[in-house]
Amino acid sequence: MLDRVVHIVQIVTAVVVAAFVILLFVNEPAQPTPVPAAGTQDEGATLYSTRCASCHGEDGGGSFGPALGAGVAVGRFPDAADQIAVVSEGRGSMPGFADTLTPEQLTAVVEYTRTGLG
Amino acid sequence: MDLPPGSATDTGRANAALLWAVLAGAAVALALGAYGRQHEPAGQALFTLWFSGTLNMKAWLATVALLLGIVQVVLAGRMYGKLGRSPAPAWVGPTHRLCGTLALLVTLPVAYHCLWSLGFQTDSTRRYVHSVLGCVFYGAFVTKVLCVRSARLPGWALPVVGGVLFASLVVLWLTSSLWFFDNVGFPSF
Repeated sequence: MLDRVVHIVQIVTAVVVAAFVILLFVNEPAQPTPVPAAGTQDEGATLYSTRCASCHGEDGGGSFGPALGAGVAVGRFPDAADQIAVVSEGRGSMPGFADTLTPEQLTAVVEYTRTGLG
Repeated sequence: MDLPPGSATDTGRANAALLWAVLAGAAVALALGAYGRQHEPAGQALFTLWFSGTLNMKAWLATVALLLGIVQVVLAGRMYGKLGRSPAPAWVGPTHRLCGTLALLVTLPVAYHCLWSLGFQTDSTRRYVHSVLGCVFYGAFVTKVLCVRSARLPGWALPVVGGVLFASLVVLWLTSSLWFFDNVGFPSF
């Protein structure tokens, strides 16, 4: 009986290995959404949705990246300037956005994570 | 024709079988490393299963793999008479294989995200060691599977390959899950 279970698990594992190997070559990453024009309504929310949500979750609850909502961002960065610096320069696996967002946009999206997410 | 154990030809065939197993594992490790270097990292999340984030999922799946690896090492010690005085019960062998297979299975989503989303990273010692050992782990796994299936190998081969496999898993966990629990928080489901 146990041998049969082992055999089944081995077959499942072999199939999953094959699937992941194929996915390595065929899984195309989603293209980033263009940055919204400055001055649009809810700029911070729009920027968050298009630039941050894929990693930090639509509701800021975290996904690939850590959670930011429900006061987490404020807790980790009591001074908003520190958070802006991280978003600007990047940290760890997170890319920096200094080249793609203006200082005003950086401020807007950081402000949104601190006050608009949960 | 069966050769007498220890004869020159027998030893030569044993070494050749071991060499092929090691070369196959090295090829897998190099292929993974080459993919990680050449592939443009997607930098995106995949799925989180029932966890709050991809990194949380990876940290815990790696932890499960490590625990299964520890069980496998203990069962191997039992099988080869290093642990316990009585002969190993019949369930020990299949359970050893089951733990190893499950350990591999739970590492697959982790490795997939590492390779596809992050790539082979060299910008810090931790990431560099993790990237290298991630490749070594799967290469050692292939070598171990080939060693298990070969009756010609010298007796020391399987424990050594198994030791490399387990050691690489331990260091992989130290450079990822432990780092995550230490820097993000524990348990951080």
